[in-house]
Amino acid sequence: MYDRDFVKRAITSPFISNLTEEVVRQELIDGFKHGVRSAIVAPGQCELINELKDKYDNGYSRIGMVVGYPYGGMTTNMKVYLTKLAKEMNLDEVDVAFNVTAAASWDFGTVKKELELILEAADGELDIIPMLWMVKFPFEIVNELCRIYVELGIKSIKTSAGIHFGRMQVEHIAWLYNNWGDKIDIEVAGKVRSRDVAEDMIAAGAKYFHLGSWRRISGIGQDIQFDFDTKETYFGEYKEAEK
Amino acid sequence: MKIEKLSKVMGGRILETYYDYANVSNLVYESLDFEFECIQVFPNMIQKAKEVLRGKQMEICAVISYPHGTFLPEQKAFEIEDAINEGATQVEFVIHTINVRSGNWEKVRDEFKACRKAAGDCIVKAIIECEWLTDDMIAKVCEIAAEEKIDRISTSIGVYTRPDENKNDVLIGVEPEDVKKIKAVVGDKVKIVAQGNVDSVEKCEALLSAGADYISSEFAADILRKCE
Repeated sequence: MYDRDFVKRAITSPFISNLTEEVVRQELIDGFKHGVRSAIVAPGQCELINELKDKYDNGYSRIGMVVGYPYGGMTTNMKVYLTKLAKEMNLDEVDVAFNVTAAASWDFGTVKKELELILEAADGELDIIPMLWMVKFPFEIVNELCRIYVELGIKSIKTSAGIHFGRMQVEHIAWLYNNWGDKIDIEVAGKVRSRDVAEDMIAAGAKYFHLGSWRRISGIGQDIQFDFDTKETYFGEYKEAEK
Repeated sequence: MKIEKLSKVMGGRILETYYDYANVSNLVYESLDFEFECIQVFPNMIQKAKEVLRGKQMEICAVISYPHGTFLPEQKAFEIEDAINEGATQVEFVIHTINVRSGNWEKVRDEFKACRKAAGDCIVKAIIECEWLTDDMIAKVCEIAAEEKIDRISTSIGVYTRPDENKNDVLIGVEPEDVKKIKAVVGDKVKIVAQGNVDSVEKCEALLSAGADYISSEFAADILRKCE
């Protein structure tokens, strides 16, 4: 795959706590300039993403916001409030973390009811892309979540999150694609750290990649790094093992 | 360390993906058995916790804008009010660390003001994420917290990782040094909650000796079982 084609599959989301305003801005500008698939922000960054989209829009990159990410521990009321905010801010999508406590308890009725309310708040104007937490949940629970998402007419899912231990594996994608790939698009999130793994995932059915290292993995540059000694955030050489 | 001394300052927390309703119930029962100072839960666990408590007294602390904190003040205020309506008696918000790291001090102050106001009479805690901040940033944010009448400063969310020498991810935990840096600024004006992978009695003792007023841990009951 050409590097340029991989960039078109990349999703950036600069909102974790070790960033600075300057780095966030640069990351989003670069995302637009290179033509990533989506730039996803936190609720407090909606004005910024709109400002940058006005200036750097490329006709391809989508903008979105996270709702309840990544643990889904907010109340339904809060998630609905944030979804309405995303709609008011004219975003394209929201990435939603479902009620994980309910899912872990096999209370899928609660999971579904919450998503119905979020969909109602989006009122057809936002794409709702819910998570699966595949690195944490057994396939039985993932399967139930997919069933609910398909029943609700959802077209894309996000596989996991990168904040925690556990990495998405090619086998996860193969399972997901074999079982649900004809109904939902697969956006991979969860510590994909090398181009080889990413290409294997594409072969297995993945469509997009939510990546902190999208430049490096795409082969076009260096990504955001944090120096624990100086507490500085900068664009520089990747230091972690590629697995 | 005596169990009675530690339990009075101990908070139990379950802020992860794998906790189900039974884990919420367990936390509540453990909190009653060991007389925790509070339990820390996601806002959508509050109803379950109240149901299990059945009117028994226990402080319920809801985490707000957790774990990244990149919300506007009014968004945090909305979530605080929402959690209090659900039954939270304490709230703990993650500060907008990007603002702190960018030196946007007026925005930090506005956030603290909004959260303090939204929390009303409830105890309000601010998680400041020591692991991402320089000593100067820690000092400045603590100074603002004290000025804006934040009740407690918490050291960390405890879920971020860093690579170790073998390039494996390890959780970043709170260290006594973090507590000392906060204590040096706030003195007795703001209480300090040491949290972030606290997993032993010895660690609790070290953190309390460094100036922490409270401990919060996922392993609260296990720690207390090992006390005298």
